[in-house]
Amino acid sequence: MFDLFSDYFASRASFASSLDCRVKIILTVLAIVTILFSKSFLYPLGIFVFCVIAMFLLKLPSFIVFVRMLPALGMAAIVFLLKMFLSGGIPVFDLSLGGFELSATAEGIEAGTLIASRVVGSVAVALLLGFVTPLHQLFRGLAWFGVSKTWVEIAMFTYRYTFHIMDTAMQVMSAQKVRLGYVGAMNSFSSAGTLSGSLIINSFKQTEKIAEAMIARGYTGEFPDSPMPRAGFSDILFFIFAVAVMAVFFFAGGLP
Amino acid sequence: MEAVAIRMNISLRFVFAFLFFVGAFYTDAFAMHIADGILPAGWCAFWWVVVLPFIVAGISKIKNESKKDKTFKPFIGLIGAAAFIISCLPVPVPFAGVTSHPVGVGIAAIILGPLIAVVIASVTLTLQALFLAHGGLGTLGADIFSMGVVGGFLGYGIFVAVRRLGFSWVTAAFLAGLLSDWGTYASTSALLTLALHEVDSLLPMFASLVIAFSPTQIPLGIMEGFISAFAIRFIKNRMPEFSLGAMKGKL
Repeated sequence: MFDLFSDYFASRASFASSLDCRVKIILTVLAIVTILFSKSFLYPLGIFVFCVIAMFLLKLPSFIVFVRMLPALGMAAIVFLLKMFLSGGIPVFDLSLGGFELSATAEGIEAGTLIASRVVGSVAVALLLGFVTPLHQLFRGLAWFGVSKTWVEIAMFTYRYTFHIMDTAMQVMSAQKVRLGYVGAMNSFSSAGTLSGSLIINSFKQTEKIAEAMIARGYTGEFPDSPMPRAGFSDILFFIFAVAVMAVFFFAGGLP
Repeated sequence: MEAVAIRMNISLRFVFAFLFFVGAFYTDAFAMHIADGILPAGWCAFWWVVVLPFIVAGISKIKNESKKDKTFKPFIGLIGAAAFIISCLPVPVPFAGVTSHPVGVGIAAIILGPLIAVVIASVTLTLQALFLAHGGLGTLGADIFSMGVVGGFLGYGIFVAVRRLGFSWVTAAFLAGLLSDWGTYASTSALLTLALHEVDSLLPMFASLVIAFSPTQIPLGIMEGFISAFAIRFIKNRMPEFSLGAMKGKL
């Protein structure tokens, strides 16, 4: 559970993690936008393959990569099947399912492949960003791009306390399970409700202690802001190279 | 091959969508978040424009409150983290035969108000998109609309309305949790339909998606209702002085 939410992979030394966070944010946004505008499945699929290779080269645990990718792969499969059988067009093959005849159409397969490739491509890009950028850097980068400082502060607080609250939640849940708190539907709801309520009360009570400690360390109600350093030459060079590669593949992949 | 326009029978669409959604969307986690790549770029931009005023209003509210109280932002962060963890709790769903988790935004809206709940939803959805591939960065606007705006405002509004009608905290929390959950799924279905429907297939596709989601979402909504009710009951019993958001005063 901790591994799934943690950004500690991003703290490992690598070329990708050493890149300026602003470069990574722009490239991610560019990749997602171009994926959404791509007319062929080749471009999103190419991005997906690139991201998976990058994750492999970064030696990320394959289980974590798989678990994080699972929803996207499931979603892509569902969209592909729905489009294949629910779109009108030229029938390619028929399938008998529970007494119903389903027709897969050429247009449906084409549309389904495009949408499914867009799903896996853009999700892989977002995940790669999360794998190679520590959250505090990412939020700082977002603030540099003009995202509200208040939003960034709330996001940083939320992420910081997620692990603290997760720890409490896991302890309470284990205690509830030992006492058969999750046997039967009503019992489960009651236990989950009690757990939720206790997490909220815990958060409420913790606030005072945490805020006192922060104020003692100079917190004035806002995180201090320091200007971000200029992007390095290698960052700019990589940015130009990546944009050029994306442009070439985008237009090549978009050709009929 | 001869070009033939196939218009599938609506009931067949229902059956097909039902089978695949129940089979593969075995948890609500997949169904409630619209992943990147599903919505066309225009729709992604549209939903961003729709939710932006809500986020700006929520942030402005947080700014105003934190001017009076330095501890307000850490408090929102902690409640946001609690809502995030609540939305990850694995709870068995009766009849569906699987474990799933509550949306959590209903409780957050009751405690903090709907505008701040929208901000919390935007934060947690961003984290989920980056770490869990639930939703996406491009579809964040659409996901915030379904979960934060529709779920948050419905949860808060129903809680306040039911309390004003004289019902108990528990009943109000149950209905708020139940309807904010169902509202989230109905709006997700509507968003998907608007973006993906073909000519003349708006209503059939919406109906297909609603029916497809219902085998998991009906019990899930009931689960969310009970969890919200038990949570609010626990808070009121353990901390009667707790008075925030819709839980203020005698309402």
